[in-house]
Amino acid sequence: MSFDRPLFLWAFLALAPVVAAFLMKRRRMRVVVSDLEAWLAAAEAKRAKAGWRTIRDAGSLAMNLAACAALALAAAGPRRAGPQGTDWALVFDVSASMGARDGRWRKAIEGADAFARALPSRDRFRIYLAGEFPRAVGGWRGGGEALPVLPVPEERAGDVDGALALVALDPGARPGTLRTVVWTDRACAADFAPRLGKAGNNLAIEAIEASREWNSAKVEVTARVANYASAAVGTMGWARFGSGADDLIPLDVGDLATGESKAVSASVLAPAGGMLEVNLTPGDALALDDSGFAAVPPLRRARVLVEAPEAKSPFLSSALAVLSPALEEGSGIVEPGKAKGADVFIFDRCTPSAFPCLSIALPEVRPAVDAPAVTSWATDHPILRGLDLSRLRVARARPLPRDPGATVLIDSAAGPLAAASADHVVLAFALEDSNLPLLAAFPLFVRNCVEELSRERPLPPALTGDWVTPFAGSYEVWEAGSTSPHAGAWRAGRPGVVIFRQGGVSRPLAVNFFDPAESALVDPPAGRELPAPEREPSPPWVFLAAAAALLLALDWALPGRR
Amino acid sequence: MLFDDSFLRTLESLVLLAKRLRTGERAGERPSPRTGASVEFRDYRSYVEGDDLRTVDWNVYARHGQLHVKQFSAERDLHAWVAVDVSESMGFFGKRDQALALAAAVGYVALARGDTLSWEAFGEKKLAGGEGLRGKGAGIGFLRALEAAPAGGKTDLRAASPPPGASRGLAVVVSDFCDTRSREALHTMRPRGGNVVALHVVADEELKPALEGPLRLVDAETGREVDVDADERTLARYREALVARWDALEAFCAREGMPYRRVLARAPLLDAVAALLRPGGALARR
Repeated sequence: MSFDRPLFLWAFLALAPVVAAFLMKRRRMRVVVSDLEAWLAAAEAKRAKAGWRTIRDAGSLAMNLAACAALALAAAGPRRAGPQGTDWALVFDVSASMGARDGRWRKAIEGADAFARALPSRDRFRIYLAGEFPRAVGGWRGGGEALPVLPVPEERAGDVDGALALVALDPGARPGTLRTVVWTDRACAADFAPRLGKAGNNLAIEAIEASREWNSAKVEVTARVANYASAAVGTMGWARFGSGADDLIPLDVGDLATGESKAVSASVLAPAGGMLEVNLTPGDALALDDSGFAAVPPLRRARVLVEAPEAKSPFLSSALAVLSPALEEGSGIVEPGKAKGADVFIFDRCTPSAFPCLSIALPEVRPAVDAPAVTSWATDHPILRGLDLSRLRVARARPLPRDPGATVLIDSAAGPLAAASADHVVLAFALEDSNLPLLAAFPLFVRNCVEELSRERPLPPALTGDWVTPFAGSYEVWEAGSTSPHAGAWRAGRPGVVIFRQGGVSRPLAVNFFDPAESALVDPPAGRELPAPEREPSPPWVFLAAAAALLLALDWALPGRR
Repeated sequence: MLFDDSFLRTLESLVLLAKRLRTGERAGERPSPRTGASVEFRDYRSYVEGDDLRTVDWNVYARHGQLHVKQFSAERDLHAWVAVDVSESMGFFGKRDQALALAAAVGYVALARGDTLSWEAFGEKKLAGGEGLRGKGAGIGFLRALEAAPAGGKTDLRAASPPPGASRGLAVVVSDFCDTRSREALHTMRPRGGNVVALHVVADEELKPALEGPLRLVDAETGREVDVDADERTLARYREALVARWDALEAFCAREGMPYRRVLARAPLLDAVAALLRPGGALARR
């Protein structure tokens, strides 16, 4: 037998005073009297009842001892020995679809809370969350306790099967007693899966793209909206930078058939850039997928610096002069190592100390090749898009090694004559050794190089649940509404905007919830009814206390009590 | 001293009473059936030779010519015997003090009246006593001896026996009569002295004992023990038994013609003495 309050077992020591009091009571006080005759006559009648008195006293002692023992046991709170209670694993699907406005989450919570409260005290329960990563919440709780506060379901997946596997591996569960109840809106193989509500219509933003033309204040916003409802739905959307009502940019989505997906676009002049928010209106069954976010960099002129050991190439100067309205600073000669603060560095016939750069010539790492024939050029690459290099002739070049991390822009039989990677473009020949400056494509080539290399590259939008590492080294993450930054590895939570800061550099990040699997709300499966918890028997202390009261009453009521 | 002067003067105004007065051998102040030399004329008789000529009534001789002598009543004393119980049982609730005071009062009344006083303090035997005391002059010694009398022992009235000289006088027994043979002892005193007065000293505490719960009662004199549960019913039965004993003693005394007075131990002595003055008591005013 076990006890809730075993310290009260010390109350058994109270039996000693009871016995002592009984013995003291039995011990007759000696009184000397002047004459005993009258007392003898009076005691004569009593003497006949002495036998009953002896039995009565012994019975009284026994009843008082038993009553005290029963009270001590009752105070100690004994637990019933007998069948072991059941361990209940209460699994909640916390995927975003459980947050649908049809109240399925509320029903799940209320049903689970009522179920937990109705459990007998010998039962236990533990909460498991079936999200992207199944996990337990807290430890085992006793039957009858209230449900703890659970997070709002907004995860991109509900791994119910993973949660069930986690339940099966729970080392704290009592062997042979574990049963599982799952509250989910998808089919599962749990013991019990109470039926939830019915989903309503749902529209969802599937993707958002906001791009700025190079050196332009215009931002092109494109949002893809899908209809997961069982009927055609017409809706409106809006986009805005900031929070003012005047900033709203309407997006006419129009009618969408069941299962239809439509992209809607709008242009907006946003020289300052910022965070773009797109919303659908009115709200539908699932709020989480009705919003989307995008980070738009501000408009600014590119800064280009030219490093040339000799006189700057006049062709290059001419090409840059054409771009001068888009450049913040004209070309100039800088020393390696002093190039900080520019977007594009052009190393003309010299060796760059570090990338990024637009290098016109490489050091002589390979032997020169005379008149390499141009065999192809990457017409689909942004730098060469729309350029005709069929007339390109190169008198002498030092072909580039084929780097798997770079894209070959111009290829020749002797090797690559131009290559591009994310942060640099390299030509394998000097401009003077070719007719490239004489081609009409040259100014466009320079412009494309500068545009591509100086383009502001916002962090790629993250999805909720993604781990984001924007910088190497330490950085801070400022979430909307937070007063202190998050440091270290960060995982995207709710949709919205966060700012990453490292040193003096800030980079915004848009976090979105784009998940067709969650947005496609379906009717929850028919669940099985919850088992009725076993009726909680009256605790043993009630019987013990009643027995003590009965014994004391009996002792009081028996005739012959002193 | 047991008494103050005013109380002594009160006692001096009292006199011992006896239903069947048998006077003593000594001259005293009590009238006697015998003829004697008192001033109280009783009768005439014919002169016989040898009679004192001073007793001849010469007027009668002148009228009738025959010699007659006058006879006078003789006055004798009363031999009072006071027996006071000083046993262990008298040591409760002031009974012994009250008994000694009563004995002293009665004895002093006897001495003040000119009677002969014998006294005895007894338990299971005679513990102290005096015989043949006469006159107020012996009163102080009597009182002091009574005050200094030892106490203790069982109550045995048979140990109290009047001296031969007191056998025809007045016997006053002051006791709580705890002895179950008290009535036999009182009865045996009758043939000797004729007049026996029983002064029964009782205490309120005996009638209403402040006892409760399980008790082991021990007899102060015999050491006998009895276990008693002093509840209401037992106490009621005890009171009934006690009162019955007292009433039985009183009824016995009434049958035997013995004056019986029940005196409370805590009662003022004057009240106790006054109780003896009531009709059928042992005292009267002069």
